[in-house]
Amino acid sequence: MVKRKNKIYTALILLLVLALVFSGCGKSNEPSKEAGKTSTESAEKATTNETESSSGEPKYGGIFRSYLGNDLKTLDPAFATAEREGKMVSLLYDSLVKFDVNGKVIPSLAKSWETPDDSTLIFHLVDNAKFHNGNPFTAQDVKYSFERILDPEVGSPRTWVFEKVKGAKDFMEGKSDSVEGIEVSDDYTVKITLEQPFAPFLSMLGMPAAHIVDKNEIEKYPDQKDYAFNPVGTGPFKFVEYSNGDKFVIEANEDYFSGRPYIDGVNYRIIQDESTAVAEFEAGNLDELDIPTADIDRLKNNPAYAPYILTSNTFWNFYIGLTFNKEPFNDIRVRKAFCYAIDREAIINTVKRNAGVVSNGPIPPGLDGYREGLNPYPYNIDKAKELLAEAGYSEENPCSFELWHSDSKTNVALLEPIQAMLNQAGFKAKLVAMEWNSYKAAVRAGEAQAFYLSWGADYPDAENYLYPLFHSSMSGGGGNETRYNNPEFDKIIEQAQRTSDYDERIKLYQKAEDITIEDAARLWLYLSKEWLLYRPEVKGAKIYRIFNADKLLDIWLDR
Amino acid sequence: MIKYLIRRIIMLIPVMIGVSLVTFSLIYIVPGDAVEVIVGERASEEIREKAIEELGLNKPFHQQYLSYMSNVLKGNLGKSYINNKSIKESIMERFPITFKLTLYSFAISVIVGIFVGVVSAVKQNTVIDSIVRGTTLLGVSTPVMFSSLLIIYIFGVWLKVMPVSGIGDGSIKYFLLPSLVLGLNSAVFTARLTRSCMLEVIRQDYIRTARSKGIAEKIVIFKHAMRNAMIPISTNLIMSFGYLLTGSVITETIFGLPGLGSETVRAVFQRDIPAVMGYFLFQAVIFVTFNLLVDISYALINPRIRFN
Repeated sequence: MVKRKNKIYTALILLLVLALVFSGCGKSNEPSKEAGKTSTESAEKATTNETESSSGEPKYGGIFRSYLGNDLKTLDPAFATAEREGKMVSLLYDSLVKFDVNGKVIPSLAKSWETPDDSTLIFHLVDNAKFHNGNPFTAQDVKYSFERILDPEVGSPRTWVFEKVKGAKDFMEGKSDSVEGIEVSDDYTVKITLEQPFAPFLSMLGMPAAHIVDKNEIEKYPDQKDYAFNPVGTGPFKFVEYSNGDKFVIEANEDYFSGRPYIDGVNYRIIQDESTAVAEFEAGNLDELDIPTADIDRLKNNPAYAPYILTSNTFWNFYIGLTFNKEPFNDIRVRKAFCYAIDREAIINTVKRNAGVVSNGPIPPGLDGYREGLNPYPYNIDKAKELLAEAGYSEENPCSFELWHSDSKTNVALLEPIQAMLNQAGFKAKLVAMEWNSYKAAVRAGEAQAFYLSWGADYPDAENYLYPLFHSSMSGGGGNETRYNNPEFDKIIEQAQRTSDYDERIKLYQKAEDITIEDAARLWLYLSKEWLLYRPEVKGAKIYRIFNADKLLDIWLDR
Repeated sequence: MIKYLIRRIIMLIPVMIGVSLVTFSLIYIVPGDAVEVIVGERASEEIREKAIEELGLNKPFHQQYLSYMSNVLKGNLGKSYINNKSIKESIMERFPITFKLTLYSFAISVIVGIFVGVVSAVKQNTVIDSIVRGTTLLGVSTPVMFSSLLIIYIFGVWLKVMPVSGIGDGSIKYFLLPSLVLGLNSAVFTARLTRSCMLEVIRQDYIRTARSKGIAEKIVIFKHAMRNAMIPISTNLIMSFGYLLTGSVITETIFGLPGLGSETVRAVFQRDIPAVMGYFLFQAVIFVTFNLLVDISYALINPRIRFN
């Protein structure tokens, strides 16, 4: 009797504990259960990419509380190659031009510019910008900053941004002390001459590498690498403090040349675990949350949060690369069969649902040159089988290959149904998961037969999705990991780069895009979507299409 | 005793050489390098090669290893490939955080674990015992990932009595939740061990003798039973301190504590060789030291063990 009683108690206690555990989950799951009905509706409601700012006059003051998903590697424009560092560089420094919400080039440190001919740009600079140390910004700083990127002593990985400037090659090879094509006409005028017309150059000047540094600050450090966390720019925010794994603090630059930001500063916490970030937001400790895919449904269907969610398609275009000089994808029929075998609509709309929209080509919507209705490889399993048979494969002899990807649950969730579809069509695909760094090295070295990766915009020009990804000179680390090589494509994209006539250039981009699609060089899968959630007091927040375009000048806090 | 200590300390040298060699070989063999992280996308092969050369990654294995080790012997742990921060400085900044977390967790583990274990042993086969066994079983099988988030939501988001994550001003309240997770996780093992050790001792003849002499039960348990049961428990506890110290990676990441654990993970992923080497060597020293402490404590607690 005593024993039985014990068992009952034990069971009761266990039940209690379990109830506690599951009430925790239950609560957070509730909204998403109703999601089925309302998700499309609220998704439509939530398609805004700006929080309201009309409720009264913007107020000055307050610290904006945000977070970074990982440590910063550097705050030196010459070395800021990743998205996170690029964003921060653009808050601390300025470049000659910047981008508006939609990615259009607008003035920044250059108040205007003229193009006397196709390969010359004359920039008229603002005369009231100052570095955070008080030094005035002048044309000399532009010359110094741009030459610094090219200087082999510095070793910036971004030399290609200025490579097309006249005299850049000579300077890099040590044949001259300065770059011929960067001329300081007077304190507030810079003339840049290019080797030959290169249309995307102006938008490339908005990249993190083209942000302006102060020579006096850099030269304080015998080893330039020590400058990394002592940044001094002209930007809307000044560096205050950075500590690895903990926080990054910046404060408003009162003397910012175009007027100080509304907020007094930003306090970035470093939060690696995305669930922790969600918890911090829900506890009211963050003003901004980059919603993890798993939480989108739950948060957007919660009436307390729904009005403060912003969403927008990003410029991140995800694809499967098919390596050109490797079996079996050295055969165009196999590549085409691969493309026809996958029902992208079905997969993206189910697996990626909130987090992505189907992509049909390299040029993403939002960039000039994008064509709606392009769908070169609609799902067609019969055609896929036919092409495989033509290429000499059969049921007894399926086309087997390995599809490599970096190891993550979300990648597996997407690639497993793709694998199933491929196998139905007569392939024998094997998924190989690798740790990110090893994976990148292997893909760059051309060891993968097929691989899953993405490409984002460095600057808002369709050329950025064509030249680095497909030009034969970009094989390997340049961006063309598939070793795609088509002289016809090379010729057209090179011609487009030199073409200053806008309409003609766009036409050439599209022609180049068609060639890559016809060759089935990569299968474009989807463009990711971004979901941001703000606290109600945050006004004027916007999603900028280009990663480093937001200088936090519009945001203000109503508290 | 002193002779024994000196011998053990000399033994450290081959151990450290072994650890450094294995760690260095592993990171050398694994594909990918720090250059991948430093130069990022769209960098020409020339730039990559230049960066590789600058870091000396193109040199043969033995040269890289020897030049690293000769620097270490000079007391120079080098600088991070990625953020250029001195490794020694990073260890000095981050280790105290991990140490604090470990200390608090250890305290929770010891107090809760031993108390619960003793109670459950003394009250064997009662309701209390069943509850303890049930919850410890649940505790053993709950992953830290899950319990961390659960505890964050309960205390940080709903009750709002504790900070959710981060180090804040470094005060104790930022360590409470992670210490609770880590400490309870380890307390569960301590409790189970304590219970079984106590049960074994309680069954011994001398306990029966003590009881039959009419000594109060409290004294029997604490003076006679516990002291004997403590021998295996205490050595286990010291080892668990070592494990806590080097095994708080997940907790540190979820709770956003900038300790050495999360930093080591970063270093491995980014192939930051000086950082990986520095942290591993440092942690090896600590672990070996704890091993030594365990052996010494054995002798101090149990006079039957002698060193020779």
